[in-house]
Amino acid sequence: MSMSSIALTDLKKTQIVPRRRWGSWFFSAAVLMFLVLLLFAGIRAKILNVNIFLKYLTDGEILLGARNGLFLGTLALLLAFGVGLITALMRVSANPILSSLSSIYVYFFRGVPMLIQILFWYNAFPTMFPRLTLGMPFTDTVLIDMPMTTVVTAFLGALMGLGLAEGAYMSEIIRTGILAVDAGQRAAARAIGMTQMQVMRRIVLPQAGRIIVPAAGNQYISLLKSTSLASVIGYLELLRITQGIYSVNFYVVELLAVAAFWYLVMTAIATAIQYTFEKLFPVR
Amino acid sequence: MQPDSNMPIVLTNVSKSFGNLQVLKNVSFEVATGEVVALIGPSGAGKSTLLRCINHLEVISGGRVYVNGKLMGYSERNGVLYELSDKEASVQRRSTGMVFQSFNLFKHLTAIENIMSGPLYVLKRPKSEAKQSALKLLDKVGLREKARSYPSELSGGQQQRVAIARALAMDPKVLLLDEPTSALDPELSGEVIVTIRTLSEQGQTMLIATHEMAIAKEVVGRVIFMVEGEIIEDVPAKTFFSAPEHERSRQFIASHASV
Repeated sequence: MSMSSIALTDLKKTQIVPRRRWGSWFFSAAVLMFLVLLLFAGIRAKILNVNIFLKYLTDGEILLGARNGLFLGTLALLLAFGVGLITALMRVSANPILSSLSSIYVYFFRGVPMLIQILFWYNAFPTMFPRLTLGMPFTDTVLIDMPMTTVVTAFLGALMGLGLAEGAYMSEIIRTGILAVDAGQRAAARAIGMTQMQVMRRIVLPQAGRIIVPAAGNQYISLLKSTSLASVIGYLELLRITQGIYSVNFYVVELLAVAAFWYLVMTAIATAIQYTFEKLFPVR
Repeated sequence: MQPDSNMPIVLTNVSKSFGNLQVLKNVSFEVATGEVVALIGPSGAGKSTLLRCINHLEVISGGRVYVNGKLMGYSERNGVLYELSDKEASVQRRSTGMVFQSFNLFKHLTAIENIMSGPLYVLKRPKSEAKQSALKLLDKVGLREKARSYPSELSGGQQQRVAIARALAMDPKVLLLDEPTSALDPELSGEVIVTIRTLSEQGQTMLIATHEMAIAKEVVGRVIFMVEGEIIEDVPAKTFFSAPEHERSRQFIASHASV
């Protein structure tokens, strides 16, 4: 009998008992027990009226709020991505003025709270510039002339506030992605005669995408929830509508639970979109 | 002065500094069409920098570099050198191919896509045409069955052969190879050396920075020996190995004899 067959028969005969991790099993049981107790206490205290919760879950106004939130958050992400890409390219450029302008933008828009930025675009900006006037250059023809308060709606104010603040984060995310592509890739692309723009478009950004996409997905989720900030300037998003309803009928718990449910749905959508994009930039 | 365009590479008094450190000191030499030249010398001699100066990946501090009779990276008017735009320099760079020590294949592209990238994006050739010539080049380096493999699925030697094919896809007048076998074990460098030898037999002009004595002794016709940014010897390969003129050359050959 050869050595290997001895080992094989031994393995078949011998019973192997893996290490028992008693501590973690005991802790799991304790946590589950606590959750069950909490659930029963909640049911006994009637903390949530299920019928009210279900009734408002598909309420027309609530659905409009959820749709508005998703729309605002998605547009803000696209704006943030555009601004982020341009400022990231400015930051990594050799030009000292472009590079410092980009740093200042990131410092400023990442440093000031998003809520203040939303209030700024909606309330302060129209006071600073009361009228929007656009004329044909070198002529007296006036193309647009209207009060700024008409131009900056609650939607536009929220979009500017969210999009530009998020653009600063996105700028850093894209810059990190670009810097993660090693210099040898760039040298090789230059060596076959690509221009700087071609190197960026064909070689660097496709490889940076693998790093940018998961982080951008994270920011998307965060943005969708930040749309609730737009409630302060009266944009009809989920939180604003929820508050409007419970201030009349006082079903605070049920309505906040409804809002939370739809935010979770939005997050699920964002996560699915993120995974779809991640597949476009696989690990090679 | 416009040098002979039959000399694909002409360097006159090229110098290069990084801050206070002078890496190249008045380097001058020529490489003729079909010639295969080894650039050898200890680490830090400036071999890689020299190659990168030839295709203007590095900006030189003094002197002139001509490729195919054209001044690289600059246009000269009334004795003043004006640096070319990114686009113009990129067009000039097409006439040189480069092969790197660490291969630098584009990680997100397959082997064939790597080879097609130059013809497709730089020369704007139609895709079918780029693909046909890429397949021919894969045959040439013996890797046709790896066309659809990504760089991470290839061995080092295979990656370097694809990298050589990628450089050849631009049909360069000169191939600059920067330590093409230094990252490979002896067996894998063997297959790369075979590829380089085939190219030399087909008359491809090459300038090879190398530590590989097998290349320096068997493939090349001429050796340029550099130490600390200066050319110490520029002689036929046979002369360099059988009767080196300088003490420093003898030391270098002795220290590499066992390799």
